[in-house]
Amino acid sequence: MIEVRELTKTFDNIKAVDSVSTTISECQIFGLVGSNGAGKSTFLRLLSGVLKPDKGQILIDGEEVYENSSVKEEVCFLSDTAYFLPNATAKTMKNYYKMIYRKFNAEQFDKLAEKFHIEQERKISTFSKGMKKQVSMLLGVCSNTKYLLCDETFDGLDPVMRQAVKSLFASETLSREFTPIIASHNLRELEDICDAVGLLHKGGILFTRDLEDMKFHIHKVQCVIQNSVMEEKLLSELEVLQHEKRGSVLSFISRGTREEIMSRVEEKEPIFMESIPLSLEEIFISEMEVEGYDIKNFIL
Amino acid sequence: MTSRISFYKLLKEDIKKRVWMFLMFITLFVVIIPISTMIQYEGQLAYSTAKEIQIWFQHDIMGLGDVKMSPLIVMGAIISGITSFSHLHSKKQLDFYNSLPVRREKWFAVTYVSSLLQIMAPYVLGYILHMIMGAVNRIAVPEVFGSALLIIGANILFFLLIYAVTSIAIILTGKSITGLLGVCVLMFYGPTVIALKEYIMLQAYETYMTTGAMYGFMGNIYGKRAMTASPIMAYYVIADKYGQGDSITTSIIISVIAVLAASAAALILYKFRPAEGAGKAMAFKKSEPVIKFLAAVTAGLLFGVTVSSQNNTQGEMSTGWLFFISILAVIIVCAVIEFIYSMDVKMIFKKKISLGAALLLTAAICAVIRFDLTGYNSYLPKKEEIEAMSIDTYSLNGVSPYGGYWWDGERYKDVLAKRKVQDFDGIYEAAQDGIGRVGKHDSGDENFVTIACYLKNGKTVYRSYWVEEETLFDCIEGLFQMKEYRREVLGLDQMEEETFHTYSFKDILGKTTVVPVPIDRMKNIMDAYIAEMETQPLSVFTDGNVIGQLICSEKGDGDTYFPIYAEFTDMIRVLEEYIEVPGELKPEDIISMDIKDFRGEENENTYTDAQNIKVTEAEQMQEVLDGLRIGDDFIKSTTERGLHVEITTKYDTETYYIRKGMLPDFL
Repeated sequence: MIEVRELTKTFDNIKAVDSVSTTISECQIFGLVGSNGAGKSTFLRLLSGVLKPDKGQILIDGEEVYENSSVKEEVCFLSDTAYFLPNATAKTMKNYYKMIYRKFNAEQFDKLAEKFHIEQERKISTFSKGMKKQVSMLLGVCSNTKYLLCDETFDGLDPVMRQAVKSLFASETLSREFTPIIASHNLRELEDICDAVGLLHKGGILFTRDLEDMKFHIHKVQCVIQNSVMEEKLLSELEVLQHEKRGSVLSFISRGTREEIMSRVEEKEPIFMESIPLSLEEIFISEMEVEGYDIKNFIL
Repeated sequence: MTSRISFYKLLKEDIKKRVWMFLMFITLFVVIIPISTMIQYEGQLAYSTAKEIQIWFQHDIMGLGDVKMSPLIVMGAIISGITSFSHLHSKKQLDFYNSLPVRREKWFAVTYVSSLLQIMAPYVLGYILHMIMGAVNRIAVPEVFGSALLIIGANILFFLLIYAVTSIAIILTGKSITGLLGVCVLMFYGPTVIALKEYIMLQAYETYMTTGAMYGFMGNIYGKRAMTASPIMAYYVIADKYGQGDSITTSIIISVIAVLAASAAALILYKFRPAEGAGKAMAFKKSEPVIKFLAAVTAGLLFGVTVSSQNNTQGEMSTGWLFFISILAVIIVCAVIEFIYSMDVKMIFKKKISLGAALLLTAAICAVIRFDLTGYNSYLPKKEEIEAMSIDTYSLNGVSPYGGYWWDGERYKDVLAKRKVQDFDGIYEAAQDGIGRVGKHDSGDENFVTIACYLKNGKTVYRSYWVEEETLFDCIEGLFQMKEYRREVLGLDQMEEETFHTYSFKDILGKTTVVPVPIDRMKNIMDAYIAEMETQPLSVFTDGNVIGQLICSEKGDGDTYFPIYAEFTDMIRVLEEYIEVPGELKPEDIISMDIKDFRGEENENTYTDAQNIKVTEAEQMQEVLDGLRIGDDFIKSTTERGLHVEITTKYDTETYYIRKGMLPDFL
């Protein structure tokens, strides 16, 4: 488990990460969302022990990560622009990672490289941006570390590869103790893969939520209730985050399970009612508005 | 927590990563240099003796600071220092390396050992190859093998020192360009500051002890004290010392301490270096104002003092220019450095504290040196604080061929120490006279002296003064009563050690005659001369006439000229046992006598404008000869200015002067 307490990092009087406290549970895919400059990369560089916090603590499995090689053995950091040794091929990088990470699975790397059509003997400098990203991803996954920190992982990958990498993450999570933390400025990239998401804005984590939990406990409903008194009563009975009335159609987003919400609506004898699936983005916008943020301007 | 990753595997990877460096240096040390040595050796065979080749091989090829391998060692140390830590200037590489489960201490150790192996293993191999080559061709003397370990060890030591200093520069900075600048600064800032201090003292204080010459700033950079403040230059200073046969044990011990200190500093800096330093001019934010301050003050003083002392007169800098140029230089340097830091023109004057501090300190130093606020020029310890004093005047340098040490600035303090006397009243008076003349000497009837005060508290105070000639004469005359002082000043101990194989005598007529002295009596000649030098009063040397010169020859080492004064009667008697020694010039000996008169104001220093007076009458000639001063002026100026007497005999033409107050009527 990763515990972050009051983490602060300042660059030239600009607080890149400002008093962030959060917990990232094990064996889940954690998405870190935020616009450009929100502090995602800094946060990951802090988690990986590249940067030293100005204030606060990062505990990975109960131990500080900065300059702690035994903790770092369980953390692999893939920065947004991957670095490869001079004149390296995928094979030389594989061997290098094998030397660095005790549990590096070379066989898995070979298999995945074949699947991803990566020529191991070819110099990485001749690879395209997307291919370099794939090599970096495979090295990270095959390092077999407990935590994989990925900065803008899907940036530069084509849709097929993006899906393949997502599948890889999912299968790894199922097969071993694996906690990938994926930073992205794009919520849509993460919604079909992440178990939990944290939203970073201006250096601070606004909140962290379990996606399933969020999806299970928040719903959008459209209904037509003829009696306006009943309509008012319905809105007051539910924990409504947003509501809107267009003509006779009432739309609202409310907390609660689908069954709870729909039974309340049914009690008001609607002439029409339906539950509409919410995208991760809509859930976030709703949640954030409740928190008092207008995040439409900074989330895609 | 210790990393489980094998040190040797990391080492192997580091060598692989920088294998180009290894290949380059193995080619240079093991192929190129040995081949070039062989070619040079073959060339030497044609024009050098076997001994000369052995000396060449021992010193130039196998010696410490040799001409071929040592520059490569310096270059290798700098290159490996830069490549070991250049990843710190790249955010991408830093993210990679810092995220790996390897402690920084281990990375540091890996690069340290890897650099040493990649550069110094080829060097050692090359050195051994040279030894084999020397043995096979029989040009390696046994000393080559005997000193091999010491030379290899010393070279490894200096490699590590230069490597560590280079590493510090790279670790401290965040960009390649500032890293390279940093290397230059760390390699040469020490000598620059020492040379600058020396230069400022020379320019600012009239009484600052110099060795006679007003060295420029660059001249001081090459002073040995300044050079030892740079790892590269110190290497060559020690190599030079070793080459001259001096002991380098102390230097090696100091170097070992320096290596340990520099390596520890590099390791500590590396360990605490913030990763966010990549891409910035300086990696440590706190070092920025310090570097700016040091550079600005140094540059301010350097430019200020250099420009304001262009009149080249010690202690008389132009006040206005000194302050103006210093302050201007500080402002410009601060602005440039701030721009390098921020790359933003708007920021160049934003950091006012460091700029203000640099300006304040520079202005304060300028004020102190220009107006002598510390009383440097007027300082003379109280008599009761002084244990002993010493004086040297260049004015006595020519009295004896073995006197005078003005040519060896580095050892000047040792020279003064040898002339230390407890009875120093005369020297103290001379110093007081000199202090009274600070800023108003006219260099006419004065002599330049250097004085050392050895205090009871163990300190030594050195000063230079212009002292009135009579005061100095009295002082030196008193000191000449002390046998040891006189022997030291005139170099009589050295004279005793000399073994000449031929004596000649050039008499007052200019005729040179070999003194046919038997070998077993040769020493008597020199003993007689030394006896005269030991006993004659100072006035003989300052006022007497030189009636000839004893020319002593040593095989292969040229001739040494010993002046014989008319008052050296015992010496003359010894010479007269073998040759004729004329005691004076007579009109009949003279073929021509010309007097060059340039006493007029306009042509005082211009020989070409001199008026030529031909003296042909025997009576007039005798009048001139009666007032002739034959010999150089020491301490006192005894001759009339602006009159040269050119006398031609059948053997030679010589120029003499006319004594003060003895001008012939016709002049």
